[in-house]
Amino acid sequence: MKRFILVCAFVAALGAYGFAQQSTAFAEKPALVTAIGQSADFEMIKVLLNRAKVPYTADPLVKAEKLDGSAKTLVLVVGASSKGLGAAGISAEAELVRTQALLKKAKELKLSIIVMHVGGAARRGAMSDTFIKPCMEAASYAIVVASGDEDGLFTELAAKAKISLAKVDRISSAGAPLAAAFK
Amino acid sequence: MSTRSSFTALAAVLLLFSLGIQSPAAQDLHGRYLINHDYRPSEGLSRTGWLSDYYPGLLGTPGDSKVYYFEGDKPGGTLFVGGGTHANEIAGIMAAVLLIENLKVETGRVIVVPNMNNSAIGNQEREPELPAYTTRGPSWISITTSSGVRYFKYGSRATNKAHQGIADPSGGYVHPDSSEAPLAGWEFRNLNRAYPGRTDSGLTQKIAYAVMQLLIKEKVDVAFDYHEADAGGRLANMMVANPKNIETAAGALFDLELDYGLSLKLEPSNMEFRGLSHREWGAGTEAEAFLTETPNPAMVADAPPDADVVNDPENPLGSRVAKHLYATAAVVRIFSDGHPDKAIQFSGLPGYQDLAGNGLGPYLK
Repeated sequence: MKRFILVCAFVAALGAYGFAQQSTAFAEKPALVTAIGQSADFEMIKVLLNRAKVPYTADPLVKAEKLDGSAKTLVLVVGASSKGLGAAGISAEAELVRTQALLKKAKELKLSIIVMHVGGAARRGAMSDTFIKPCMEAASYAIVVASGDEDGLFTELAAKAKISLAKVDRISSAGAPLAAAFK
Repeated sequence: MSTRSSFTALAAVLLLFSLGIQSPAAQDLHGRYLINHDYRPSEGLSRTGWLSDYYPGLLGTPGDSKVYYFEGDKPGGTLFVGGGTHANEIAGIMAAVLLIENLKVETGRVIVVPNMNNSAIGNQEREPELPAYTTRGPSWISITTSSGVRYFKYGSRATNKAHQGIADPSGGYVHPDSSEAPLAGWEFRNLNRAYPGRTDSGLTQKIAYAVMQLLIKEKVDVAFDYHEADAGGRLANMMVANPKNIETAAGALFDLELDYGLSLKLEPSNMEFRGLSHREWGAGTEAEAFLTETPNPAMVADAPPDADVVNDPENPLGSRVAKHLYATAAVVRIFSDGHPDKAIQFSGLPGYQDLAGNGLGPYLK
């Protein structure tokens, strides 16, 4: 019964986000999801996409040259993890270069870009912000856990980029606006 | 002697008698240390064994520790739960104890070792070389249950120096398979830097070896190592998963949020940092390997010496134990859905909110 209520709440929230945050589903399928900053939040977004039944491929280190137009939407899971960067064998500087090249290629291919920041306040700071800014400038839509926007950075960047920003209270609530963004 | 002083003397005698009974030195005929294992299993217990069953070199040493087996009527997978890798991280021990005293397995098996480092649990040395948070805390905690007040040992992060058999390396500890810079010498006695263990080294390394042999011999499918970290720190409220099973962890964390409003952070094992359970169990056995961290108020850097590790208002012990157990249950559910032939089903746990709100007392014998 509890799960049924939660599913109903999920569906209701999905509808609410569809109208309040992003009035129409705009993102084409399939998606390509990558980690900008190599945090484990990437794994959480894969679960969200699975549960929303959005077809996708996932590559935390995908490079611009791999974008060939087969994926129609780029999902960027943004947030730096020094541990994750270390484990992936990539420096923060090289990760930024990869990100900028990805964004440039995505623009050329006219891909939709969805920025997801779901790590909250713990996934902010100088290194994360370095990745957040270029991603938000290029984004079509952003979904953030509200505690990551306590200083208003995402709100400000979304306003500058003239994109919709969905703020959710926790990561499990990010599934509704993400699912609603896909046609 | 007045009535009051007689009563005081009697109480003192009873206390001494009680402490005498509970001396960590109490051993069985094989020299196995018994009193750290005053746990009262549920009727679902199938049998008990010892870590020395997997590495006889542990027999008669303070590193030997009791293993509890719960087997269901239907075949399935095997879950392993370890508490007390760091014996000052009491929620890990008590989560394992609560399992032992309540568990009923319907499908598959559950194997529990509540005192992974049995030497550390009796180690009350306040070693100056160890950071204060690793040994701060009471010697015992007490919990009122339906059978009266029960006492549980609160230990140290490290194996007792006197038990290790080899002195801490003066140049610092380097895991034999690591190319990283040396850690502090006392880390030689840290069980969670010792996996996969060795038989030609200190007691800590032998314990690690026995645990690895258990995981391999028992064909464990899902393995949990329960820990605690400083409340408010980066590690607190986290699940660490071996990269090979991080998707299982991610799915479980969503379910925890949806079902209980419990948010845990997720982190993959750093495969370059050797010796940790989630890293080595995942790489060296078939098991999907996980580690959970709950917030222990005594482990905060500037915590007072008398920090209340049981009734802390922000992070009471019941809440921390509930996090470990329900994180495990969520992982097991995701694993079982994906591996129907290795399903693990168990019951008997108190409700999440009940345990978090009422504490452990009503659920211990």
